[in-house]
Amino acid sequence: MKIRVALSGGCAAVAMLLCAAAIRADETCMSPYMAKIVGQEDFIYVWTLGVEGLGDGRDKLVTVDANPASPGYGKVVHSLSVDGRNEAHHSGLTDDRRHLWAGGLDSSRIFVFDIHSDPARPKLARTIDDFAKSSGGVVGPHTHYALPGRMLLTGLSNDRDRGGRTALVEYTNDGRYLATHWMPTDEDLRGARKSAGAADGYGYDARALPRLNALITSSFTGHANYMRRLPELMADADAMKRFGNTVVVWNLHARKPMQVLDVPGAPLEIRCAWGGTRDWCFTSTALTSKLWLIHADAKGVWQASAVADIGDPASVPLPVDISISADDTRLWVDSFMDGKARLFDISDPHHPVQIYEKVIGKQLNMVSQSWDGKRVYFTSSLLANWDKTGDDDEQFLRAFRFDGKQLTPAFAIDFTKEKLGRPHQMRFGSYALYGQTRPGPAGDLAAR
Amino acid sequence: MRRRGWLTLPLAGWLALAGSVSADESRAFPAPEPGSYALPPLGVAADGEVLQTDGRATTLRALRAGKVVLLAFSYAGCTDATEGCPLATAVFHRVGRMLADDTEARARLRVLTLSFDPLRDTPEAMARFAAGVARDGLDWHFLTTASPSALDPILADYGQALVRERDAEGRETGAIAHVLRVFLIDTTGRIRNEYSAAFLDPDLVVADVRTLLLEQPAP
Repeated sequence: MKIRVALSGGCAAVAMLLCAAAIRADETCMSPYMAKIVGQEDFIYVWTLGVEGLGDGRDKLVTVDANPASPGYGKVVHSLSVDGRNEAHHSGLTDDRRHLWAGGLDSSRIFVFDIHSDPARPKLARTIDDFAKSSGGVVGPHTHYALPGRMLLTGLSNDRDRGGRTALVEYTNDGRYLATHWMPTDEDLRGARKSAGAADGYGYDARALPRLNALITSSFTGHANYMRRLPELMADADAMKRFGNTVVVWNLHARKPMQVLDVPGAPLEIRCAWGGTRDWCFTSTALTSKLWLIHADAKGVWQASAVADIGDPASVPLPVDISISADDTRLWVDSFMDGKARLFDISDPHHPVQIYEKVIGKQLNMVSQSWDGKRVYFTSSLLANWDKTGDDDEQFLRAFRFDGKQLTPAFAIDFTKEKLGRPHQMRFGSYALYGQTRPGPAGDLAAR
Repeated sequence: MRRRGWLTLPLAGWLALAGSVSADESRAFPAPEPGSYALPPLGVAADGEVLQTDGRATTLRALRAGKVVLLAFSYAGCTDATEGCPLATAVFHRVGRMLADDTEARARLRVLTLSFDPLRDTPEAMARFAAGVARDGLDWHFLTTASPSALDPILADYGQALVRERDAEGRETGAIAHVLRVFLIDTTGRIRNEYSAAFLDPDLVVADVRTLLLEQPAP
């Protein structure tokens, strides 16, 4: 059933989308198992790294009012600090969208926020403190991906050597550990078939193509690398060899790795097509600055193909986040070093063409777009020790309207000036998801 | 999985859909062999008092009766065949056909369809609803509850969130937005898998049912 809930007062339209094959597009980068906001989002939840000496110095979930009809539009309306600095990084919503899970790459703690009781004022529902112990040694919870009734987390590292070998970890929606699935390695392929290169066992992102019973994972680097200062790391030739060079295709239902594909240069975010006949996903490689297409060939064998350069790879623009449009024809690509957002036409996914670019700031990381693609949001922070320094260390959320051709500024929040920290991942919230309406000027809480 | 050509149909049209829910050749990886993979327990299947189509009260616990159970929340007014409650019914129908030659599996599997609209879905309404569904040899029960207050704790225990759609004047339209959830419950009353619409592939459901049956051979 898909029901668009158009509530009185002009609130967001929401689709309780229940079939991946039928849905059309970070709304466009979420798990296909999840309810989607297809109209105007009310809030952006920004998982933010604390900065020592700035405000309370702690990691926090910052809630930004994103509805132009609201008097608080473009403002921070709530901030909820958690304990300490955990290297706040990625976050993800449960399938019913009632809770937001947010991880710390350094502490391996996971914070679960209740965002449905009052979408304007998230509450900390629980903290998972034993991720490494429960999972059998996985550290650095990164992607938090909704499956029916459970969350699938990717790790970045392990607690034995702090390198890149890691696993997928499953929890129930209420935070109970379920299972660990280690990435295939040369020593233990776990039944997978590998390509010419090494099966490195590294992890980063995960996305499912449920109608194909396939899960795709990518690979980054371990705790020893991602917690080092970037200039120091890049000068260490041995350390730079310890980055992931693989994408793994899994049997989703059995959680078994089937194919290890060679994708050199640290493939990061994965975004899969929404269309019911498009059997492909994109990823971008941070170190080699390329777009890669992960696709099934005519024989059903999965292939990885480098299909476009991102900027000038020789200048190491360091592509980080990507965001696919709901109709599978456009792909935003952010690169950290040059602070640019590039838009590719991916109508022919084997031959992407860059059609637009804009410098968003002096550094740039995450991008999230509304379902209709008309609103695009950017944040600045990559990792505490990788962000730029001095005047180049801009920390922002910048919102734009997009007319299909160019970005026009809508609002911006200076996270340093507001004493909040380093903004990282954005997730959208809406009253309509929970049958609620925005409180009116007279405090009307009708239908809440 | 691809299910093309489905339209929003009246409930009487479900059976025409059932034949469309078929093994999907486009799937990258086939359903795994039963017993070759793990289904870790997700939690304990909650109990609750329900009404059968003849109006008699019973409990979910009693209905489980040591069988493997597929439990779906549904409501008779749901008409979105591609993504909603009718999909679950059509998939169950397909599961029944796939198990047609497996007498033991059919004997040890029970299907429960529980309405989350007790005000409209009375036992009589559920009886009419059930009459339109070919059960294909499945031990399939259609259930409702006496009132919203009897239903709400069950929904809460299973994490089944609902939004009752309202019109511009704030009146309920009868449509209920929800993320479709189907639960697979083992013979000891533990939830072993959950399916949303995208995951409700009859091949995968049958593989899961057989995996649980292998865990505990028939006496």
